Amino acid sequence: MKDVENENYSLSMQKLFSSKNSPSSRTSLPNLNGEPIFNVKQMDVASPFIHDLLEVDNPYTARNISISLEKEILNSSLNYEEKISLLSLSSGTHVVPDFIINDGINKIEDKIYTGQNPDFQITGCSINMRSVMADAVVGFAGGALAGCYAGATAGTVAFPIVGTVTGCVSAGMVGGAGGFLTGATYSIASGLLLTCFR
Amino acid sequence: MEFNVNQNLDQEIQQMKNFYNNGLDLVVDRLGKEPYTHVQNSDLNVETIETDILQVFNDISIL
Repeated sequence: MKDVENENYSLSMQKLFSSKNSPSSRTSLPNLNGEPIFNVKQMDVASPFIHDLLEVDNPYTARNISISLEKEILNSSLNYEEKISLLSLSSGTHVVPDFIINDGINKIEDKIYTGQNPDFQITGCSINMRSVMADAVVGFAGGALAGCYAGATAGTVAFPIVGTVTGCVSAGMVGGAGGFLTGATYSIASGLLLTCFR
Repeated sequence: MEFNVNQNLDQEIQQMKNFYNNGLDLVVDRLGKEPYTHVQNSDLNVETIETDILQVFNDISIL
């Protein structure tokens, strides 16, 4: 990769994590606005929902927010491509809470514990829903940036399950989805590790 | 997965949700694989978690 491209990518990532050390930054949004993730019109639609999503304390509320966001996107004046890329985010915010509601925590707990550690405790294990959704959204942003970067510079990008996609927008969407999933999943796993083993 | 402009949005949404569900299965499945197993015996180990994340992202290849 060229140095210039690396520099551009680094700048984008810096923007993503540019929250300031002030009380108000606690509730500030991850930086999704600005090319190449979402444009201003898209953020106008999505911002209130993302803000609410980062305040949720249970998966049912998160799923309801995703349903509202999906309706808002479908009824908006955004063009087809703008809707599609935002729907990628709303779909993730629907599927992950669904997974948690449908015994997903136990599935992950089973994966990280094989019965060999005597210090493992079942009661008291917990996850922080707000952290899970925040990690998912930040993962989405990072994955979308990485995917878009790869799609724009390399043309065609191969992903697990999906196969190949072409260009910044498609690769960004798929990359964002992958980032969303890994962000949420590892947040759940680390939450369980911290509470089950300590 | 093709993002086809001729499909209607409902189909696109369903396709995305299927992708997310399949992706979740993949990521959760990876949690049970090496090198994650020794995390169970050595408390939280950030390094091994990072390795596991990298394994997932290593599957994303640029053609």
